[in-house]
Amino acid sequence: MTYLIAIHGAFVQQWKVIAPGWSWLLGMVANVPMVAAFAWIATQSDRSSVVGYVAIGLFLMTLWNQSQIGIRWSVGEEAWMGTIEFSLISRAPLAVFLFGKSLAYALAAARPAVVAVVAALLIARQPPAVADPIGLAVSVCVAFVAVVATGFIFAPLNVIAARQLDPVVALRAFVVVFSGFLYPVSLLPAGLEGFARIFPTSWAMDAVLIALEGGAGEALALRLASAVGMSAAYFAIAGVLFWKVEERVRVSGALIT
Amino acid sequence: MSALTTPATLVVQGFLSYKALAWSGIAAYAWNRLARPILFVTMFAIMGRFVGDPVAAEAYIVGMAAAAIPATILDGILPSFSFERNAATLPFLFVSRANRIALLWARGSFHLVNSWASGAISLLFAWSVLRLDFSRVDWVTMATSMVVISWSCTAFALFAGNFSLLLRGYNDLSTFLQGSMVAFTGAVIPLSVLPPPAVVVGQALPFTAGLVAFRAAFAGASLDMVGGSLATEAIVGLAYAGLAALFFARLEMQAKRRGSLSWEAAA
Repeated sequence: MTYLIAIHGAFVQQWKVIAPGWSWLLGMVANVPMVAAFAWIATQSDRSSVVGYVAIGLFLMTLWNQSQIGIRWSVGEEAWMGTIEFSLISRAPLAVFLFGKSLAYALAAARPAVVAVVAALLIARQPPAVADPIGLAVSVCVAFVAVVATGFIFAPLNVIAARQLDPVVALRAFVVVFSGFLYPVSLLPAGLEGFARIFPTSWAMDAVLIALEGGAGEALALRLASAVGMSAAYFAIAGVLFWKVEERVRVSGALIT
Repeated sequence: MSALTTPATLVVQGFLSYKALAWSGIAAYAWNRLARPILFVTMFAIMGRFVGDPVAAEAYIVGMAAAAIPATILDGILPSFSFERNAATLPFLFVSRANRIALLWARGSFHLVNSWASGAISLLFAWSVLRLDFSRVDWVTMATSMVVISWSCTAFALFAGNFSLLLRGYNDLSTFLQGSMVAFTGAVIPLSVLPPPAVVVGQALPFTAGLVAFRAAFAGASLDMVGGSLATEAIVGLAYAGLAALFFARLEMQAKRRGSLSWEAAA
């Protein structure tokens, strides 16, 4: 119950920071031009599954991008203004306080993500063909969990980075390229696919493509299992990282080494 | 030209502005200015392969290598405006005697040079890893088009930076403008297939005309064959340079009269 109160407090505080002014309107459409470019490329394919794959990938990519950059700025700005210390000296664990903030950003990021997918489908001018609707629904849910897991592992790094804005921002673009949001990672140049496979999203997006094209059930199940297993591992690693970061921040009082 | 705007002062001013408002260390530089453009080129190249069109993939690679120039410039200049305001150093700038046009261009100068590095590293990657064909390239045309594109895009970013001052932020604006440079200029989607309103937007943006010359360089076009495109690019840049100076002067006047740049204060 105490944690719920902390999550609610962090959520409300962050939501109020995000909400005011007209900036959110720009945030809604900021990704549309780039989305249009990706969606147009997708329409050049003869395979109808490509449009569906890219539309789903654009939704997840926008969600990932916006929520990651949001929580990054939030922690960074609080560090700059000296208000993060008040959050850090509260009795709620770091993970709880960041979860509340992330929730607010994820909710805010869902708006431009929906705009992205609508824009992509409008440009495609055709509903994507789906061979296995149930498999697709499961795959999209697993892909969402994979995005959350990938985001969660970066959350402790956001705190360590504190006033250093660039490193975590840089990781964001890196993840987008190797996540498989826009293309299956098997198309990456030789050697890079193996690296991309450490991201659970790469497995989940493979599952999305198999469900769209009606591939073998075993192949779909294998990809989904890999994505779920890796996501679980990510959550476990994030838990350890949170524990380490919290220990350092609260014991040493230092955000930066 | 007053003593405040000698070439040496311009360089010092540009250096200090860059160091204070844009420099985050060598690792961040290597990532943002060198690695990230490569990732974008890679991403579009693989998208081209995914849709099964290797010829189009080559066009995307060339377009995105060139798009590294505006991306680097926008990504560098827009934050410098909002940081100036958020760090509360803007009032000192407004009360200084510095020539405002020199001040703006000093701010953009290092980012302009950075964009050449981003463009060059993207092209190097395209040649060495993505196997882009450089056999017919006219290097003079390519280099000239990169210089003209970087100049016009710097002028545009200095204009757009004023919006960063008003918004107190740059991230969404930078994302929107960088995306527009990819979607409406012919970098990825050919201008011939864009709807007419999007073509108008593209023609109002810098980079569109310069990109025609940049692409022509790959087909071996000499400088005199692309003179018209480069002249158009330069004129667009000149227009934005003028608008940037006027907009900044207007904001300064507003700030001095109202004591605030916030929209709420203007209401």
